[in-house]
Amino acid sequence: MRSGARIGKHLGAAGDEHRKDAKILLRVTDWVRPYATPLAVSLGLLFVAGLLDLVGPWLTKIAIDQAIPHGDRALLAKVCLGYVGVLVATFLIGYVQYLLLIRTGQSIMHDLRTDLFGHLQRMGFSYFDRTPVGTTVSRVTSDVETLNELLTSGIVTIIADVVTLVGITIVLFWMNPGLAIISFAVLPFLVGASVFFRKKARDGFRATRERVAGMNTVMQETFSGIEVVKLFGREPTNDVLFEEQNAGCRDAWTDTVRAFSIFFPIVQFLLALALALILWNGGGRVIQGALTFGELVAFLQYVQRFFVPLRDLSEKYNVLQAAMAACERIFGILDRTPEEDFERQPDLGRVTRIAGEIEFENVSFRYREDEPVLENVSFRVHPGERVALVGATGAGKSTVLSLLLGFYRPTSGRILIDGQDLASLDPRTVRQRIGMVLQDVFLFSADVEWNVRMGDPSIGEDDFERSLSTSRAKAVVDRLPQGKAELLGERGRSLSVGQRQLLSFARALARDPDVLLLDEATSSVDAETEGLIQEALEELLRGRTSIVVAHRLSTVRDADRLLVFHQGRVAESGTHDELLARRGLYARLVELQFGTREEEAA
Amino acid sequence: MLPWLRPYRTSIAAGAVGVLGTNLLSALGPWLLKGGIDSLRGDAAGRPVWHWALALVAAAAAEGFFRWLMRWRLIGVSRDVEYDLRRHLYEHLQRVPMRFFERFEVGDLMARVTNDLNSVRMFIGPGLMYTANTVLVLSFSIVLMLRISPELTVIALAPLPLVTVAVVFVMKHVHVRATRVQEGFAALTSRVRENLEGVRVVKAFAREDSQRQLFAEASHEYRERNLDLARVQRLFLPAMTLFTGTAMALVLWRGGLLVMEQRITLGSFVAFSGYLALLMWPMAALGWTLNLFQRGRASWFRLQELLAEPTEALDGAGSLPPGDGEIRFEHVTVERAGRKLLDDLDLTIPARQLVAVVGPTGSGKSTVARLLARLIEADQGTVSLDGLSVRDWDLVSLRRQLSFVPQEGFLFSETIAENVELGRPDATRAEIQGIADLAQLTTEIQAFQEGFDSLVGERGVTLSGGQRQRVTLARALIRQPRVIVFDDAFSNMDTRTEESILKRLPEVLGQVTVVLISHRLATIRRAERIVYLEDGRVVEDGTYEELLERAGAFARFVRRQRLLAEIEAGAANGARGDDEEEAA
Repeated sequence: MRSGARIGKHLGAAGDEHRKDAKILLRVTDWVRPYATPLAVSLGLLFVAGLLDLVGPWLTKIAIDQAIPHGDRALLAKVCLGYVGVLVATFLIGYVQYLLLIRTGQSIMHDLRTDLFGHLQRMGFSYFDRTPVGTTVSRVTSDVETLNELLTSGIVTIIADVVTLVGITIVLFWMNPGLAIISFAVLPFLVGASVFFRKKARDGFRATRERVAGMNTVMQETFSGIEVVKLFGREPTNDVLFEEQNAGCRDAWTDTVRAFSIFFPIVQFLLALALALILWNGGGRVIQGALTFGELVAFLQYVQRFFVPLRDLSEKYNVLQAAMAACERIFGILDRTPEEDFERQPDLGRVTRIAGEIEFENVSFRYREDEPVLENVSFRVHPGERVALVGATGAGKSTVLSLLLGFYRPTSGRILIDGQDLASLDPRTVRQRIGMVLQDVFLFSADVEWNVRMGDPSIGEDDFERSLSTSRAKAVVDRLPQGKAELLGERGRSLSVGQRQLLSFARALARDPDVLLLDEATSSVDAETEGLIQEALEELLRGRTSIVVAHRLSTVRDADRLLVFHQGRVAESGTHDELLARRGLYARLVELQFGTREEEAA
Repeated sequence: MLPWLRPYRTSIAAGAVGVLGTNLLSALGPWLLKGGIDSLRGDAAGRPVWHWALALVAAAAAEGFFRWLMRWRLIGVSRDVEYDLRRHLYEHLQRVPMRFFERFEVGDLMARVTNDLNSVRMFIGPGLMYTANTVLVLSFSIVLMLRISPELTVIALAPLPLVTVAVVFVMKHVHVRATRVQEGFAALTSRVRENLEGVRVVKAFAREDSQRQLFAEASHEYRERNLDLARVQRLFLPAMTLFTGTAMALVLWRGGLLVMEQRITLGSFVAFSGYLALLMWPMAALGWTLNLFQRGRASWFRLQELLAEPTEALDGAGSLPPGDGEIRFEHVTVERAGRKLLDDLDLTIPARQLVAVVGPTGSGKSTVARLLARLIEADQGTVSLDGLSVRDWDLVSLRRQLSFVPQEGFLFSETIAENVELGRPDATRAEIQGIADLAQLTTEIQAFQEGFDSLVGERGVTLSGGQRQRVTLARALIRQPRVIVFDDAFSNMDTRTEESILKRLPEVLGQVTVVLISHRLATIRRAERIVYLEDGRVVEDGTYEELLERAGAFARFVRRQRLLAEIEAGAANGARGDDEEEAA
């Protein structure tokens, strides 16, 4: 047996579903509450519109019973004008009600989205490292969108339908209770058919969802592993796997189609049956004089309207189901306790300035239980000192920077900043005093100025301009057609690697940080830009406590002290010359990293 | 689209009968109502009211049957066509050449096979069905209405062109605004995506607030655009009600006068209001189906774009005859995006030789391997196996005689045994165990609860990197190919494991041609011959000793590798990597 049959058998017992749905709806009300007034007005208008809907057949009745038999043209004209008046009123009220409702729904979604996004901003890396970006994106966007449907198409139309149904029932019983009972004789059958059909539809939709998920799994796997598929000639096997899901999907749909194709004619037939009953029984009453012609016609029209809401029942049900599932996924994120909820931890110290004394005290760290990244690392950086971290890939250098920024907590040991334990400080206040230049420059799709300020309004105009000139990014900006207002495309793809680096220097400088952390880029740039970068680096590091993950020979040469990392430990430390003289690990690293370059230069 | 519908012509014909019957009978409804009401006026010559009531029920029953036939057949056909198309698409996409997958992302392909196919189906099923309904019910109703009263018909239908105008007007404005909503949604999505991908920058600069603000702006904009759309779109239904209502008011007024003048009966008057109620929904549906048609058309073209790519000739030409495994590249050039991956490469690997292909990243090593299996095609030159150009033969037979072991082998979410069987579906359990033993998997597999029948999870997540690599290896070895290519296939194993696997290879495979792509000195040293590539050309070619003596590119490469190995082995105390020492 291949995996096809195993795909997607995870749906829980149906019994708990109603209770769960109710619980979810209750939670949604938290976001609905602020809009209670417009929502109430909208519902009120909906109610009025529902009532106005009942006026039409009533006016017809007046025309038939009073105007026509007596040849009263004036009354007929009045009735028609009244009819038009009601129409216009229904139109206006209906439109206003719709807009109000849509506005409310959109506002609620806006709130929910921004709340969700805000919640994500407080999440720690334990979330970001483990959750695929695409998953989170669809929670914030498509799932919230689906929820909107629940509000605007689901719940509200159901309320509107109920208003119509109740209104018609009342009017019918008021006009003639006997005929009303006859009219509703078909109702039990209708309810029976609906209940039966609802169950069918639910089963059908569930089966198709499972199959669609199964097909997606097979497709995803095929396209992701297409090379292996081709190399090993797996196409026929995959054909069979896909066929199983595809045919299953078709059959599940066919079942659903069959259910629908029976349900609709049944509803339609029951309507005709009701009309025939009214005609036959009501006709008898008319002949006996117990009922007027107008009342009979009104009855016929009311009953026709009664059946309209039942027509798109299935669609509403589908929308409701999808919305519930989306809600559940959204709450799945909101229920995660955010790690970086620092506002709610008032006992954390707040840093306004960092003198620059940084100490790692026996720090060990691992992302996963069996993968030690740093082991018992201790070192101290003095104010104003320039320290370079060197070592092979994966030796733990970048992790040092991540820990210092409080992205992760050390597994054991302490990190001290100006003598204070980082764990007792609000890391965001620390981050605000640290300038960080990452290896891969990440630019946002906003203008250049926004990217340099990172949207921080507290950076003054002078600071901004100075950061541009000091970082040599000014030359880059001046060359752009729109200058600092130039919009950068996604990820700043319109700029070269070197230009992006200069901008990231400006970004770090704009806030005049006390400490600078720099993860040097390895990618090579053209000679001119390289010169600019060298100049900018010198400016960047001057007079600041700095820790640099170094990839350039000039950077290590100019550092006050080097820490050589090897397999998560500090293996050697000293100046460039001291370490070279020792002819140990560092000497080999230098030869490996810069050896060829020096050779070529020689 | 017609060829896809042809197999279902019987169903479509039955559905068409259903459509015809349904609409004819539903147009008859108000007519029967009229008869019933008129009979109450004590018209002695007429039939009693219960006849009409019965006729109404009978007509409804018949209509129900036809409606069932219509929906069941036509919607059913749309699901069948969807199934056929999906199957065709999937099988097609499995068989298009690899270069196709450089142009289309997996997500895009999935979206087309699901969303676009759905739009096409919506057009074929509900789209065509409702369009036919609208046309027919309108025609039948007009005929019957004209028989009752031509004058009233004209008056009742006068507002209907307004409906069409409204539909066209709304659709036009809706389209522009809907596009803006979609763009707003895309902007919103990219804000979230950007925030998540740039989370390190956001956190490092503690700028979560600005991110919130940016997102709130995008979210607000999206809300406004939605409202803008709603203002037009939501005009539609109330407007429809207004127009049909106006028609109703006109009928009420003019019809009432006609009844007073005794030019029509009261029943006719009632029937007219019945017809207007009957026509309202189909007229509204017209706008909806127009939309379905537009979307279906755009989606159909997107699907055609996928189907336009010709498939690989999997079984067109003859089977590649067996041979010893001599590989020859003659003047082979491969270009991608203006860059030459291989540049006039000439290379011969004699049968049963063990050759190492070495070179810096991007020198074209993997391209050599991929050309051989025709995962990519040469732009110029020929690649041949035992003197026969690989292009001339059936792809399946070619690939069956090769094994290509990549660094990151893709595993399917099946059992370990099934993943190994992929190499040779008819392999016995004993053979699988033998190969697993060679790949040094046996002890670890025994530790799993279900042994060889343990599931490996999506892409093999339940296995470690080294285990995945060895399953991939077992899968390749069990094929018993005439040529085997290891593309950095031992990177997640220690050298001792690699050594013992390579040593035992001939036991299982016999003497086959082996191409080793590797950085490891110990691996490279095992080769009878070394080919050093740089920028898509062979720069050095010879035995290990010969090349070292030449003191050229390969010698420099060896020196760098040694340094790297020393550093990795912890050279702080001067200790050297044991196996590398052996190698040096």
